[in-house]
Amino acid sequence: MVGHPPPPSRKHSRPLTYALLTMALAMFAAALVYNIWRLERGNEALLASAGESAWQVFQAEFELQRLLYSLERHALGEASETDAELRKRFDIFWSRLPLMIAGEDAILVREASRAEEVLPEFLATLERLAPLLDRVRGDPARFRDVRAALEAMQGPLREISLATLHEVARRHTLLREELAALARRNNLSLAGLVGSIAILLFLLHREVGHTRFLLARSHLQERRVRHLAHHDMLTGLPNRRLFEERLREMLRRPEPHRRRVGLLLLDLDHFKAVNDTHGHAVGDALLRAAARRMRTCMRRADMLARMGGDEFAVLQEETEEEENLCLRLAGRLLDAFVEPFELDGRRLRASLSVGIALFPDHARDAAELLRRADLALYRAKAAGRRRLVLFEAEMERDLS
Amino acid sequence: MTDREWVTGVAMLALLFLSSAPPAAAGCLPPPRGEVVLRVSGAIGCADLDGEARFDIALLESLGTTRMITRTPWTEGEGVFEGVTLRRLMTAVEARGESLRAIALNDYAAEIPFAEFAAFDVLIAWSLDGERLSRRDKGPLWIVYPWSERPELDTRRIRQHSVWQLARLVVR
Repeated sequence: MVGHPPPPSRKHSRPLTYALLTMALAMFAAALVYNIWRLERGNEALLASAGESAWQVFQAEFELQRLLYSLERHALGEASETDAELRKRFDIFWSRLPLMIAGEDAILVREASRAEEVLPEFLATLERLAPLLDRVRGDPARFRDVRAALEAMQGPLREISLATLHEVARRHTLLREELAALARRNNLSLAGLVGSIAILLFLLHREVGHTRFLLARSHLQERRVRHLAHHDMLTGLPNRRLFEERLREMLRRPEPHRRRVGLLLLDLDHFKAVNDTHGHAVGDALLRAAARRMRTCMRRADMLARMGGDEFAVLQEETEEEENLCLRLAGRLLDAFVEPFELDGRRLRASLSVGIALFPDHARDAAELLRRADLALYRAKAAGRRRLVLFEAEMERDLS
Repeated sequence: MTDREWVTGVAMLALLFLSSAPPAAAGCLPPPRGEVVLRVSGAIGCADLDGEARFDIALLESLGTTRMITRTPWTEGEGVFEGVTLRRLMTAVEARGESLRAIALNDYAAEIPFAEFAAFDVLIAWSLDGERLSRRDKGPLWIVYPWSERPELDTRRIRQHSVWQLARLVVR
């Protein structure tokens, strides 16, 4: 039979689509994770700056404490507590104040407390105290003045520090809540995306399944049409067209693969009479039964075709072992028709006439072979039917 | 002269030469004359007998002054800083280490890896906008990073490395 091209395949496109969808999902998830990560990083930075703010105030408090300690020891006349040392402590405490007033990492201090109001006052006080430092030693009254002025800063500094700490804690809580809310929103988005991609995948899967079904169906229809074009509707046998195609194909084979080919033309004797007597339905039934019976006489490799009307044909390739395969097949066919047919409760007798021509013995091509087999069949009919005739050269001479 | 006298002479000359050789590279920097503002110690080739290299402002200036215009997290707007680069200072003291411990007057300390100032200038600044940095405002020395030129340096870590009231450096 004629080979069919394989149905067009779209298989490769499906994994790609799945991969793309999966990639989209992964990218979206990554974006969400990145979002949270970025917010966390941002929060960390914010919290760090909050921590730095608190640190700035603590440092100021600490340095004030050290300054007071240095002042006491200096006033008491401790040798190690030189003027230079006291001045250093004084300057170090002083240096903390501008940091809280202007530093970026002390924004929270200014936002949370009265630092901007208090700290410049502190600076003014320090300005006033600076020239007095050198004369503290041996002057208790001056020492007490300076100490009182410095100690007066401790309370407000503490307040600033507590307010800052409070603010840091408040922001901590706030940021944590914000982060939790974002995480919730992200989870929702992710769930939504996973859901919609799942639906997409399902739809795609279904679509692909349907496409495959349609393809398979059209493939089947195509085969059916092709079959119809090459077969006889009544008996299901190959028709003349397919038979001749096959014959030509067989004779076209190159020498080493070519065997002797036998062409048998079969004709049901008196078929027209059956049709006329019993009707077309019975005639058709007889044709079908005859075809089945013919088929049982031959090998699978032999080709049986209905050439039209009550005419059939067999194409047989001879094997090397068996000579005259054709003649024996023809004999079996004649014998097979001795037994009558049982059709619809009717017993019908039928017989065959067979004309045979061999390739390459009797012909050089398909047309010639067909013509000569036909001539032999004609002879068989003329000689009284129910017989087989092998083509001989003089038949053609007689004709002319 | 006899051979013996020759040998003695050469030996004495050699001794003289050896004894006059400077002890282990000391004195490769002149001693400071003014107020000492920075003491460098640790793994350095150029130290005095106490194992320190001591600097006054004039001595730092003599290493070569670099100007840097930058903002800082603690000042308003951009300012013109003047100072010596950490790289040049480390070369001057013949530092053989990998990191630097920067210690402030109030004993605050930060660890600065050499790699951090290999690629760009980091300044030990002594003046801002033409004025000496005072001890009351981050002076006399302040480690300043080029924040304007490299915004990526504005991190918590680098801020911690920007030591003000810098007093000592320990190379290790």
